[in-house]
Amino acid sequence: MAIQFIVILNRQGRLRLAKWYTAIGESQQRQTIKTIHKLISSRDHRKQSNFVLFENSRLVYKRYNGLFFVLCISLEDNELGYLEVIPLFVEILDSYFDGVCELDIVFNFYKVYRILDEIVVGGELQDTNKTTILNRIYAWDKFA
Amino acid sequence: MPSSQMMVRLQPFGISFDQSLESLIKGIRERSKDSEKLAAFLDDSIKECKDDLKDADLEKKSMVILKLAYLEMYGYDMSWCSFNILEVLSSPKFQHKRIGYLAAVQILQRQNNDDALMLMTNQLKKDLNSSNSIECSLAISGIASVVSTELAHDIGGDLVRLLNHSKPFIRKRAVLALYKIFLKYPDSLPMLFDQVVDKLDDPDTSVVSATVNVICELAHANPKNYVSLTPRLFGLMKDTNNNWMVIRLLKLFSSLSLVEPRLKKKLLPEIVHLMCTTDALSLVYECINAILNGNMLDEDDVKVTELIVNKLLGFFKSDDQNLKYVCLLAFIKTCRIHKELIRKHSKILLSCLYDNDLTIRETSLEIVNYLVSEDNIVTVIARLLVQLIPYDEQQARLDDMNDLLVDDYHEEGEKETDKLDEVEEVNYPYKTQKAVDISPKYKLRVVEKIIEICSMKSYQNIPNFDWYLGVLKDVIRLNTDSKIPVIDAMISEQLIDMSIRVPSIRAALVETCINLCFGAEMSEDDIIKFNKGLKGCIWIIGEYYTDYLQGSIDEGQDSDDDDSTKEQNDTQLKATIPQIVDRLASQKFITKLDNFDEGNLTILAYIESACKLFGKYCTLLGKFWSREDFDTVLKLCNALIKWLAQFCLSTNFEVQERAVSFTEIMKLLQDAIVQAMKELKESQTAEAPNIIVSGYTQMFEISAIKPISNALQQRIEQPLDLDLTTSIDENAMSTFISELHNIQEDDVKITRENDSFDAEMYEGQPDLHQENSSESDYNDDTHIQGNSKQEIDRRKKEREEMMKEDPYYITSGKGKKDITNGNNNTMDTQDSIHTEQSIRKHKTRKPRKVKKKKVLILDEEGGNDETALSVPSTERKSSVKKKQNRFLVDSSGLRNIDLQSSDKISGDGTGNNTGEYKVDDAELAEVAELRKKLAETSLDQANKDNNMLLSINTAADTVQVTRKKPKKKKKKKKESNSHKRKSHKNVASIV
Repeated sequence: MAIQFIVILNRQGRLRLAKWYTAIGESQQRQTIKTIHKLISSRDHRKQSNFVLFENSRLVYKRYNGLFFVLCISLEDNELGYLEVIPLFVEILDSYFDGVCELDIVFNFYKVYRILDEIVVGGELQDTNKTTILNRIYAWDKFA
Repeated sequence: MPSSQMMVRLQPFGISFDQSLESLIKGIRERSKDSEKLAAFLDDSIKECKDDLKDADLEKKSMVILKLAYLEMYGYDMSWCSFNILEVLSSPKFQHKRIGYLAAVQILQRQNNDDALMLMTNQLKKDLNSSNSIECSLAISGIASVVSTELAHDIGGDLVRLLNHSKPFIRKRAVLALYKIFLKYPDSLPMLFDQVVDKLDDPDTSVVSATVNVICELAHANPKNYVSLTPRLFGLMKDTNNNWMVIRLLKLFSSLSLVEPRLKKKLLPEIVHLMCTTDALSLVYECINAILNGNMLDEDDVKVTELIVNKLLGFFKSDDQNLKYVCLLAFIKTCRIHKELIRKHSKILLSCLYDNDLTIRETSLEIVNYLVSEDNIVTVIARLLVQLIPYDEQQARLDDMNDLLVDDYHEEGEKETDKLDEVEEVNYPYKTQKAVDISPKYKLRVVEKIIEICSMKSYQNIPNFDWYLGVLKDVIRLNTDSKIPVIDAMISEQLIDMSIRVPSIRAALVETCINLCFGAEMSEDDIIKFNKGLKGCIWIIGEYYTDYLQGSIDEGQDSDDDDSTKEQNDTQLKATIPQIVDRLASQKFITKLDNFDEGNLTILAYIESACKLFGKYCTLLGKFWSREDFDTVLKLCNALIKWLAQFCLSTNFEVQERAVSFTEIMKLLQDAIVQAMKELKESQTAEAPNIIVSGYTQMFEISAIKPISNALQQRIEQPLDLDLTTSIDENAMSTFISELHNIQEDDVKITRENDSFDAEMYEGQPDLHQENSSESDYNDDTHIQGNSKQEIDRRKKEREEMMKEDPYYITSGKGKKDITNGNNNTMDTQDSIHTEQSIRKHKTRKPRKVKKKKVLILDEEGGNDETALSVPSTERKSSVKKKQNRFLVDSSGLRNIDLQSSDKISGDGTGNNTGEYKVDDAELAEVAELRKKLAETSLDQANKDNNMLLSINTAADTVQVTRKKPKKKKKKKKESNSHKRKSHKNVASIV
């Protein structure tokens, strides 16, 4: 149940963000990223679904330009529900960076982690309201 | 060395961290095309960071840590800097602290960082209790990511305090983080749970939602603890408009409904209502999932099922692949409950088999089992088979198939307009199959599926076995290029199975096998490539060669040819045994087979079959042989001895032993033949050597091989409570012996009076009579002596029925043969019903489809009922389950926590749920209070909704039920035990 990890990859398979909610070793992480990229990049994104089986769980992913946003959830979770989490995340990034692009995520990776932390805590979705989440993020900035 | 790298090295001190990080990222980006340079650059950067960390300046340190957190993404193990992270983490400046937490989450979350975490505990405590809510929230998410068992121990109390924090976003995070604590330290759950549940009444909706999330996760691990919360949760579901929370609530209810089936009555109408009113597709999907996963759908809930099926079909018709996929998953679940209802829509669902999304294709394989029937199996198999064709050639084939599909679609459209309930189906846009290059793994799945659906229920769906044989041949042929050895083995096993069960196909099968093993068009390399399948094929040739000679070979689809010319061709084309042995002797590769896995087993099968064929040849010649016959037999014998010689020095003992034994036997036969030839002199024919006709050939021909249910052995297990040591009745043995004596006398009488009638049968089965040894039976038997012919026949049939079920039945060779024949007769009558139906169907079928053929299928010895077959399959399932996913959250600890046990304050939750329930007074009082409380809270809402009154009742009920639950379980166990015993009885009573 819940999200097991969230990963942002670009088309070349380079990692842009990785948040693991279960402790796994660093070599396993690397292997996982490789497998995910292989699984997802080969898919036709217009004609194929956004769900892929991965080991004993399911990947829910969406592509925005050159970036893949990938969630890993367990088999009994609601795929459609979690698929909606990705646009929520992207919309928030988009509002925050005022038109987000890959470079924003690369250079401000620590901010992206913080934003993600406002949406998901320990693999559980903590809020689905875009404005509330954005307000919380702005509050941070004011504080810093 | 590139100048930019030098620049990085010479970077001046005191640069602001943004710049430093930026130059690092830029440096990486510049080298991203050249992996060698990049690796060197990363190594240098890390080295530099290491040096920089020696600096005491916290500002600089935090900058380095941030860089390391970035570099960590490139797959470096950074745990060496744990202590520096802690330093930064404990800085009074928020800027630093923030970086420290980020790094801690990214770097310390890995295993083996317990030391660092221990040192972190104090700082976490401090930050959790900080007056600054942002620091506090930082600490909470830090805990949620890195928590270990020790940390959970130490910090749980502090987190719980935060549940009452003034800021809702802290409360919300605290609830979620507590779940992580429970995971690591399950024993804390009984102590803290009440406070978590209180958050269901939090004024802030997002806190409530988070709490539902946590309870949902907890209930997933151990639902029975949370059944008592149902009324409250139910109220939440009705009041909220937060779809995400409703999704979680539905998931929660489906867990609860599994342990408390009575919830269905209340939940199902509400979920159905929700499903029909909401616009959110994810919610509709969750409703369906909740109903299916929560076991809320029975076979008599036809209306709800129809509703679900219609909703799902709606999903299906949308062109959205995502909806299609989830819908397919839901259909797979529905299939298990309502096969018939789904079958109506089989056409739409089967179109998934050739969907352009491979994931959907693969998933749909799971549903095929339920949808396939005698009528559509040919198209289904064609759809599957075409995917095995090499990519380049696929499209041409598919064009033909798609054309047919279009015709089919229009035809169906015209035909079915008068059938109202299926109009919907016609509206579905037909899809055409496109060529797809598939992976070997998927290919294997497809082949497995083909075999599975065809052999399902003793080949019930196969319209014509010649067609099926053609399919299998195609699979073998398509597998020659892209070699997957398992497939050959699977197919040859399937061929064996068919040859045993379906007598009518044996001739064609042997023909196929001869082609595969000795065919002129097969080069030696081809045959070696097929090495995994050889064993089965050569066995079939040896075992069923006689059927091959006797039967005419029907070439499946081309059966329209004139029969008479065909038969002629057959006799001309049929390979004779000397030809086969000849070919065998020329195949030098056989000795090399032991280079392959199980190759020795193949050689064994070759030896056995060659010798068997020799026996068959002798039998076919009859009892009197001409001089010519003697010559050929002798030649054959010599050839075999020569052929066997090459295996007499095999390194494999079994092969060696088999070869040596058969060589010796062959030499004996050789002597006998030579001897007989001497006696032949001038006469035209002479009696065949006795050792061959009534010795050697008997070895292979005396008893036919029969299909045996593979669960037969497992089914017979000794019931646990069956005591075999004490005698039930002291006198039983003496009574039994006297009864036996009577029966034996009786047998003798019958044998005499009914001359040939089944003399062997009776001899063969004294055990049967022991069973029937009651007085009345005895009378019955004497009745037969007054012999009404019908009576005899009836009894004969009865006996045969019984023998069919009798796994312990051991007979002498002759008797066995008779029984097999008898079996065939009964089977014929059974089968004719089946074929009659198929003939009726046949009239309405289209000409291009495969013709159905009346065929006898032998039943398995020991029955092939599903309970028997399910034994090995469940075993397989459980072994699959054991493969744990390393990403899955391990909530096994939570499963042992029992919130309702009396010693919940002590916190010792382990092993409680296995213990007996002792309802003590204190607990009863507690329950009463809980009920009262629930009643009150529900009453508040009752003004709005009269329905809630019901929920009070359910609440009361459910509380009681949780108490009873363990007992119930036991009862169920007993039931299932007794059920098992019953099935044993069925078997045992016949013994």
